[in-house]
Amino acid sequence: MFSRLDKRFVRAAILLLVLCAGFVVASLVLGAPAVAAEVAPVASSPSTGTLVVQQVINGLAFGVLLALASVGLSLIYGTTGVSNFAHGEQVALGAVLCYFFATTEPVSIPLIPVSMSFGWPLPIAAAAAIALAGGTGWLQDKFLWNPLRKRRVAVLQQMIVSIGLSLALLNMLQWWIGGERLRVTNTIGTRYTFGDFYIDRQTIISVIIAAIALVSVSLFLLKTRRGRATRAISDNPALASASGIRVDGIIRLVWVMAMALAALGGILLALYENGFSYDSGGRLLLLMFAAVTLGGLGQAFGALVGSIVIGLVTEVSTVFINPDMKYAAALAILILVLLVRPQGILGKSERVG
Amino acid sequence: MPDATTLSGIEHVPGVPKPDAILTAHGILRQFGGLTAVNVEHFEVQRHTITALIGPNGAGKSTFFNLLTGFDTSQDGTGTFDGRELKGMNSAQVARAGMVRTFQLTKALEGMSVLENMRLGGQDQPGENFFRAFVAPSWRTRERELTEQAMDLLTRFKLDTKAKDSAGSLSGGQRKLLEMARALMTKPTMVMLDEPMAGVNPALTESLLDHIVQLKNEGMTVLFVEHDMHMVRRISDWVAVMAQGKLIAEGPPNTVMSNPAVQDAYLGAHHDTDLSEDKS
Amino acid sequence: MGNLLTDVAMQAFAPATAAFVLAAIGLNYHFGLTGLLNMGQAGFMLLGMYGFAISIREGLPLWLAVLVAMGAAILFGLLLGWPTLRLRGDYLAIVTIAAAEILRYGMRSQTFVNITGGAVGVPGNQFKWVFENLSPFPAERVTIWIFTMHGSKSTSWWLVVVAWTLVALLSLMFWRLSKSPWGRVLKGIREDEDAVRSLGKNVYWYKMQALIIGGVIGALAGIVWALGSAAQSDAMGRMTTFWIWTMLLLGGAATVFGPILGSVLFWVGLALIKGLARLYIPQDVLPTTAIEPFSLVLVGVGLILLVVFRPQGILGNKKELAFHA
Repeated sequence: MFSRLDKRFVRAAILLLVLCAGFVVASLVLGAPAVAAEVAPVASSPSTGTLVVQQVINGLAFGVLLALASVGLSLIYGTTGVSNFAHGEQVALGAVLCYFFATTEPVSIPLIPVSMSFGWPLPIAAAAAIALAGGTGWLQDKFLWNPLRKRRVAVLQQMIVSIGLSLALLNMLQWWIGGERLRVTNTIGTRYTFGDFYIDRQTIISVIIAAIALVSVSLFLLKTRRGRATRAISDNPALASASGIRVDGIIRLVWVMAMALAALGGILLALYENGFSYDSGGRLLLLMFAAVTLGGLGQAFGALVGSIVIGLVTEVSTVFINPDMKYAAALAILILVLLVRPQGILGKSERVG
Repeated sequence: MPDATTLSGIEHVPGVPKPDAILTAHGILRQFGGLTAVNVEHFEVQRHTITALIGPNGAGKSTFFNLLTGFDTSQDGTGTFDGRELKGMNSAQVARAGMVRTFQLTKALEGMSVLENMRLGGQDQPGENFFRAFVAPSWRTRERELTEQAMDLLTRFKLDTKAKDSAGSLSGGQRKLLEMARALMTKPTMVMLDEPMAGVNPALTESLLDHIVQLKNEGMTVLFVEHDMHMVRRISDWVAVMAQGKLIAEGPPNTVMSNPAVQDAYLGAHHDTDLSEDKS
Repeated sequence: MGNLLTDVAMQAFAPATAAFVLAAIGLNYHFGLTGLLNMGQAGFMLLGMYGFAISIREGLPLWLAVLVAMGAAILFGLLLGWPTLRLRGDYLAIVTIAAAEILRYGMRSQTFVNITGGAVGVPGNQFKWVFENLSPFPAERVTIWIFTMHGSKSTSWWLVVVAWTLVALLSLMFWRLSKSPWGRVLKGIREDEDAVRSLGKNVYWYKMQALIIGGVIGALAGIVWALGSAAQSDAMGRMTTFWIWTMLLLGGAATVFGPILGSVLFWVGLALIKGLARLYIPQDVLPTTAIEPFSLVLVGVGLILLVVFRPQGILGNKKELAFHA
């Protein structure tokens, strides 16, 4: 009968302590030296502080791009309750489509033994990719998700459908472009340095584009009628429907937008990371879930906040732990958040258990 | 007819102590964000009686009910059940202590047969322990006992012919009875019914009422949340009224119904409007 | 064509298939009986794999190495379950995936290369020999009927015998437990936790038991897998968990033979598709390197169709489904 709220914090704190202690002991006693220590013998190695600041810059950039990729995930969850496990592949699809149109190398479509080459300028290729990706969103909702909703298929069942979709899409992408790492553009961008810090021109442009896109989405959600309808559906689907909002139409729009944004995110991330492969998106899926959950499932602005945090954690953690564990750090944050505040930073305090 | 003898002489005041209280609650506070859903100073339920918890929509009855049965936790307060301290008890522990509840939206486990539903309610079945589950002889006897107990109850509730059928094949009313029968498998001392009449077709009401009165005759205490005033009048020995999270009245049904504070709570405060009296 | 059929048929009893049956049996406790959305079964397999391989490498006897693997799974289950079993379904799915991925990143990382071997993993010659030495089969390739396999090394007749014996034992165990009062409580929890709580059962503890038992079986699956293949983390990612789910759902969740049927059909089907594609689809339409992803695309589509049109799988009971609208 009586209050157990504090127990959650205690649980999370103990878990965090145990995990950190375990990791530290394991690394110190048994592990190989971390990257920073290997750098030590060199005369003028950057101080930890410098590394941290550089990684903060990287983290912010990565976070903004991640936000672009994950805001769609949040919108879909908010309006339909489905955790879309195929979202990672949708992000990669953007990069793949853009590469398909931009590259001067011959490319082909699976099952069609015809080789073609487009070589379009990057902005055109990107636009085409985003348009096509939006199209896949439209197709998905029309032929898959809408019929499932009409048949009143359980949300958890739909989640497993998205898992099947993820399996299919991931392998389709591997089938299409093979296993190697590709580059969307072959130009080596300029790198601007400020003292001990640097940032690539490509990164700056990507971040600006992402920011514009994110601001547009925000304006859409806040100012336009359809945007407000979207938020209404996320908040209370029954009430939204009862007050005359055409829920199906809005959800269709959300799918198109989400897939287009994911594609744009994929393209920009491919530029930021100077390359992509068929599983680039899949690798990001859990980070996106982490970002969306951290910010508040179903809250589009939460996806932005959560993404920045995840981006920072991912990049700054590389100063202290081996970079091949950086995603693990972000995921650990995800688990912690779910323990302490399952509804996320911006989420409403409803029962999640 | 309701038996009010053990409660005669008790003041009709909210929070009044009872001569032989099986359940007590004190200082129960439950807030959701800024909203105070429940703020009950003191509440006691007399043993071997049927008590009704009523009140207008949003009064906090369901929340209070969930708090009492361990399905929700309050920010503050204490309570006892059958002499045992309730603080820190979760819903399963409360049930094991002897206070069982039913649900407004009936939870008949449709994936199982009626008989399996009943057996699930059985207590002290060693086979429910992982290690002993391997050793069939260690639990077969108890299973037979539980099956017997279950069939007795099912016969009483006229569900015995349905024993092997899937619970999903029962009608809504039959599922209500199944849930009640299943709850009785736990051999409770107190039965908490959450809107037992909700969604029940009128033909079943009488038989349901009889079953509830029968519980009292067998020595159990009953508390139920209801909107159906006919039922409240018919079978309750005592009524407690909640409004806006607080207990505003207590007493025998007739007294409570004609209490102006109660009427105000249900109808809203229309002090200057001339309301014609409507004694239903 | 004859070779194709032999190769395909061998998939039906290959040790890898058995390993996945075991993983699916574990998942059957989680999802089939209790309705837990464990999307991290690959994590348990990983712990079994590394726990066993590292123990052998460090000189522990076989039985102790197996216990270590099981112990790691129990620990992971406790650590995972303690905070998360109170969370709602899809939250649990996300947390279990994240936890399994953290494990994988950890096992793979250079940070622990002294224990886990980093991206390379634990080499087969460091841990397989103890098991192989126990083999009564000759240390050479042996042909039984139309099938040829090595007698004792890696993917071997010995491993086939041991793996499928394990499958039989654990299937029997599942059958016993699902019919017992213990299994009844889990099935109740699967459908409605609050109803089960109201009858005095400690739901959280039952869920934890299911998680741990299914996880320990997953660890055993990891050991079988490693003995036939390698103790290396790349094979145990998110996709592997998804495959296990596909197998379980295909065969029929909550049934005794579902995991076996699902796994066998999965691997046989996959081999058949790949074999036929290689034989009959021209190279310029489907190059050899694309055959594997192509067949997995079909698996993904298959999972979608399965979940939508026949979520109870082949052997399952529609009434016992853990999906509720």
